[in-house]
Amino acid sequence: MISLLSRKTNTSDRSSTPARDACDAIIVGGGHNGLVCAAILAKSGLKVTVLEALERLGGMATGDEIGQGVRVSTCAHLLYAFDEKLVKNLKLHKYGLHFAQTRLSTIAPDGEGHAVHLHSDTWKTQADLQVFSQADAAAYPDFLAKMQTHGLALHALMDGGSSHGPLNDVAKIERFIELGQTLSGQDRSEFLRLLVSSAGDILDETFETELLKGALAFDSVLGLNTGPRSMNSMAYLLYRHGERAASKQGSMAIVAGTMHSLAQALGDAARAHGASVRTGARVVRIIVKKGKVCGVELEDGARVLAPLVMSNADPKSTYLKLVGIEHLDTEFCIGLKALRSEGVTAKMNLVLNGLPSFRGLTQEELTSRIVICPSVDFAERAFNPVKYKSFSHDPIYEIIFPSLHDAALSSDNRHVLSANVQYVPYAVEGGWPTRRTELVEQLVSALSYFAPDIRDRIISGHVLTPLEIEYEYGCVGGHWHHADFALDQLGFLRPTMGGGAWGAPIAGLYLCGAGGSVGGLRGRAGFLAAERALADLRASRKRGSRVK
Amino acid sequence: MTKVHPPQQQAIRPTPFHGAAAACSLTNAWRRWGDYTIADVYTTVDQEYDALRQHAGLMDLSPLRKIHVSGADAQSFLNRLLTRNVAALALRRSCNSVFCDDAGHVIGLAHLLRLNVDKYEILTEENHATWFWNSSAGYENLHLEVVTHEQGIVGLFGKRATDILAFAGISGAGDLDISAHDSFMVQRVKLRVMKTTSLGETGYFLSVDPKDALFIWELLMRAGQSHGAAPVGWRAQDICRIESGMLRAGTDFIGANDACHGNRPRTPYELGLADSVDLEKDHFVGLRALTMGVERPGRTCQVGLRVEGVEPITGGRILRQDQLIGVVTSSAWSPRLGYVVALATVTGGHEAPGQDVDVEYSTLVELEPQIWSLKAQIIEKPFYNNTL
Repeated sequence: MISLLSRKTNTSDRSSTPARDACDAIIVGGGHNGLVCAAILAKSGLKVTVLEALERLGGMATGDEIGQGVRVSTCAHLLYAFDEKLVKNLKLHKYGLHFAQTRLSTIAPDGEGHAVHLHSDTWKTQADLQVFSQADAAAYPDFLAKMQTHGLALHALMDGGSSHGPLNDVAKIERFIELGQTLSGQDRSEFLRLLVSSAGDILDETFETELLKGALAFDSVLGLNTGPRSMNSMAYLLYRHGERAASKQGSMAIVAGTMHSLAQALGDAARAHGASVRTGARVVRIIVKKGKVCGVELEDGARVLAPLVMSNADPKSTYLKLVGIEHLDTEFCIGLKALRSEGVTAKMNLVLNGLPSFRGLTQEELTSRIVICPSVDFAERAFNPVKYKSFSHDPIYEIIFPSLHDAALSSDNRHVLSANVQYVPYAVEGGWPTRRTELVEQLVSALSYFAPDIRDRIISGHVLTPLEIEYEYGCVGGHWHHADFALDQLGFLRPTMGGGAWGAPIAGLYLCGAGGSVGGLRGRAGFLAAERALADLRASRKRGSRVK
Repeated sequence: MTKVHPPQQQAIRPTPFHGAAAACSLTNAWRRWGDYTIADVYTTVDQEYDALRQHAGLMDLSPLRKIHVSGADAQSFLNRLLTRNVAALALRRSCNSVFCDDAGHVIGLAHLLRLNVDKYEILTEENHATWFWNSSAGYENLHLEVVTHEQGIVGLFGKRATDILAFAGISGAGDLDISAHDSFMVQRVKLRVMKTTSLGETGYFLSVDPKDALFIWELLMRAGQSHGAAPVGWRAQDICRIESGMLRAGTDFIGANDACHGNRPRTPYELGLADSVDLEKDHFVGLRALTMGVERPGRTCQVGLRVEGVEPITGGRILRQDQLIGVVTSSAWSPRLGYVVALATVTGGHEAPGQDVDVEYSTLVELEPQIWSLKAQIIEKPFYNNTL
């Protein structure tokens, strides 16, 4: 295939600097978005090099053995709504991506013998809800439909916002608003109200069962440094419902053979399209000359040159560490520094000598996603301590048992409990070295209320605090989405005014990770960044030919 | 390194020269400039103007904001902040520069002095400390310090300025090149002298410790007596400023950080300051915006006007074929030239010198509004330059 870039530029670069390598595009970081981006760029004919610091690919989408021959997705454990078009276009199934389970349902126990079960089948859920409240059962399908409509509208706005750049002139604002035309007049004002509301308020006005409200509210805060009663927490709930609606396969899939298989499949897809994927190659600097990116420097001093650099690193690392403030404008730097990027979600993986029993849940129901969040207030109370650098005594959990879906992960009736836990602060009063044991003890004892025999069943386990997530995966603040998900950090405001997936202040440098456009394990950020970079390349090639 | 935080708004204070300046003032007319009061008029505007243009004028410039920038990162920081190539600034030299925001709009004008290998002083007319502090985040070896109150500055400008310095015993200062500066001792008092051109005259900025301020003022006044020197207040200075075509922030343009309306901030090009923008040097704040072409449709130009009549017409509307094309931002009757000169902002396309325009200006005549329509012509700046 003919490269989109002129070969002439490359050869002149090569002759001027003693470089180890030169290519059309460099991907800094082989996280899932980086690999998606690499595959798409390579597919369109660019010579792509992926440089991953660690010895393995995938970033937070990874899996490993955690003892006793049990394997688990170490960090991210569910695909909430991976882009299906990507799976198809990149033929990920061919490269080994298989799902052990899709359309996982959600079950929320209250620890007192009751549980709300949210099936992927709305009518089944409605029937189950009758036990709790006739009114809630009646309201549930309408609520889901509303979430879906407004969620899709939010996605349209965000994708559009990413590709249009900052809304700094009237024409752009008009085009931006047109994106919202999928909604009827009445829906539009409701949409605006929902965006700025708290999930707690909207759920309170819709339902009366605390357990149901808690289960639904959980998704409005998962991964975020907000409580369900925080302003605009509803936006994230819409976002989550929107991504589920956009993903035809439904939502919440467990990858067979842990997330490692996803990373492998993405890596193989990128390689199959011609990308060179290097692990153990840590980028220490993004080389910028005269406002244009021209390559990267590795830890060993070697340079790889390319006129296009896609950074899968988080925005703060990319700009403040790798590029350097001397190449950046003042307000842009202030915006980046102000970016809220501290995660509050810990990951807990426990190896168990058999399945535990949860109060109010049958053994079969353990195949669901178990959400421990009995009410909106429970979640809000769990949120309070992190504001003051402390962790929750009664945290909220999202628990799955991957070994129930994928027998190959364990043997000898051993099972693995994989849990996302909130709220665990990035920086704790007294420091993590002294308080880590206390945290682990707290996480287990709080869980014991819902699953009384859990403590006896634990063989081994490990907990990743946000600080450790930062250390392991290199994202400043240890935040899943690189940066918090709030209206002031979304769309064209992500990561800050003037520097997202749609074009950074450095020509040729794009953010292809969650901090650049949209978060979540979806591949969407990598896709959007690749699309944008290709569009810019085509435009500049067109301009170039016109000049000639 | 620790950074000293910019001081908050403080009480209005007298400058270190105040005692001496007050003794020279026959009018007791003062005006505020920054944190200080300075003399508006000492005797009469005409006398002071004549002294400056014919002999020499002594001006209290202490309210200029002064920031010391030091440390290993000082040069890299300033090079990123200012549009000039700071790396090319030699020791004991100085330069004018502008500094812009991310959008390439001018925030303010600065005069930069290189004091040492890694120590610089920035002089600005307005308070931009917050912007400098905001821009400094992320530099490890950088120390910023506001030294406005730790330094008095007196300006000595005019044809006889060099003679007066020699007469006062500050020998060697006259040999400085334009824009050079150095330290001198006079009667065991240390001072820094910078030679420069301003207000259409060649002259000197003398920086002293506040405790020595009165001594230096007296020294210069005595030395200047036989040379026809006189203290010059703000009003006479402003006439000279307009004659020399110098823009004043807040008067002739609104700094990007002060503008509320989106279309008010100006690029250096709109202000005719292209000479101080180096697009070839390393990155500076606003470079990307400036190279990408921020020139908006209907962009503006800063021009000079010669206007009929004898009255200043600041705020007047500039019309061409009955169409509004701009506004007069500063104006004064020029005693030297014998006509009213004005600085004005006009819509792009109307900046060519030689074009005739009308200036519409409204005044109150015994509380009755009266509209004057005056003939004017766009002319080259500076209107007057005594340094050639």
